[in-house]
Amino acid sequence: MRVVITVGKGGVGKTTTAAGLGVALHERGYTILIVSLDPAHNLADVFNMRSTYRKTRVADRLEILEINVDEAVKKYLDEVALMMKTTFKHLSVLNIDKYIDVLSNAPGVEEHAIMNEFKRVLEENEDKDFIIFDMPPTGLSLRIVSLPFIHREWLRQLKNLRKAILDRRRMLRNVGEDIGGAPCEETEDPVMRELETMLRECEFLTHRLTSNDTRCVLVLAPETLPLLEAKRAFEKLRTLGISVSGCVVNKVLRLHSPVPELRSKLLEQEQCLNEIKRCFKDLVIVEVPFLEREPRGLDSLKTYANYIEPLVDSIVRS
Amino acid sequence: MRLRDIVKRIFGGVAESFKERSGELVRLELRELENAFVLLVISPLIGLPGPSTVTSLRLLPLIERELAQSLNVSRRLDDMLAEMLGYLDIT
Repeated sequence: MRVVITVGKGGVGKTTTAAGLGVALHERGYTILIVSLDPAHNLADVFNMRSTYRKTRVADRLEILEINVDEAVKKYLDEVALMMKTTFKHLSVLNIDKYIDVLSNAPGVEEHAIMNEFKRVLEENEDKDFIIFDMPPTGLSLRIVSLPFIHREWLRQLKNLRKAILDRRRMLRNVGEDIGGAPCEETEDPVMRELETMLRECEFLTHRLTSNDTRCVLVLAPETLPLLEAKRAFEKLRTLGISVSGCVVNKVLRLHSPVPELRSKLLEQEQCLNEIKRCFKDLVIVEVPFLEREPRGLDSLKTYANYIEPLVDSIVRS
Repeated sequence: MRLRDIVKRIFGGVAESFKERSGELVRLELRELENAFVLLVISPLIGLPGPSTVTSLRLLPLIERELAQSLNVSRRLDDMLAEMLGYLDIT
């Protein structure tokens, strides 16, 4: 199973690109799942379908799935709150356990919940040839993909510290000192077991994200701000060790007889296209012209897919 | 008492004293390591940079013993420096 992730500024056409990639790969005979992790998703709209938050069949071997991020956050927090309430169940005697519900406002939980959904989708869809993720806008996307890497470092440090604690406890136990029944071995320490479980979850994700089977595609419009954001995303992804295989430039204006009002716009576009070629010279760059109508529905997406063929070739080969 | 027994008792006493001393120091080190561990785990909950809130929430129920000990240490923070210097024989 291979993974493709589309990253870019809001409104540049990430969903259309993800859908187009899915359709192009499906045309080549692969089994495809396209997943939207964007809280403001419109993947189902692109396929002219109704949003159900369940896997929906578009064609034989082609499915789409929109993740209900709010529901994922709620589900995730419910699990944590339940764990807290179970541990501190005496609070229910005083009827003050409801205050634990304040956990739903904890910072950073949305990213965590989305990453959990990313992991769940990977684990439940190993039979697919390609899973294509349509991500939220760049800022949130980068926070989400960075999360397992940052988390892994913290967990490693906590694990080292816990090892040192268990080591000292063993020393004291061996010279006959009373350590009050505290666990000394890694296998019997519940904290160490929980740290290892979390570390395994993180390493599954970091390994998956940095493997050769995972590719990012930068999506941008030929404008200054999307380009700047794409450059930052490229640098960040490279730092994390996540491969970027291509760059889709949507909404490129090609006019046979440009009207004077659009001259400066076209000049900016040319400058941006030159800068894109310079900055991403090692990537496959494909340009998609500004289309008369938004590509919606399978047939329309097949036409869109023709524009991104060189990128699809490179993804299949990699 | 033969000289050999005297020497044996002297060295035995020294060894015992070293053992007690090192035991005390290891205990102190353990307490501070546990304290640091608790501080790192609860840091996102008290406004300090730390692992994610989720990590804290998952570990919190498992560190009740260390947490109680840390609270005890925090109550005696004013005495801690003196205690530390005492352990290290700095007067």
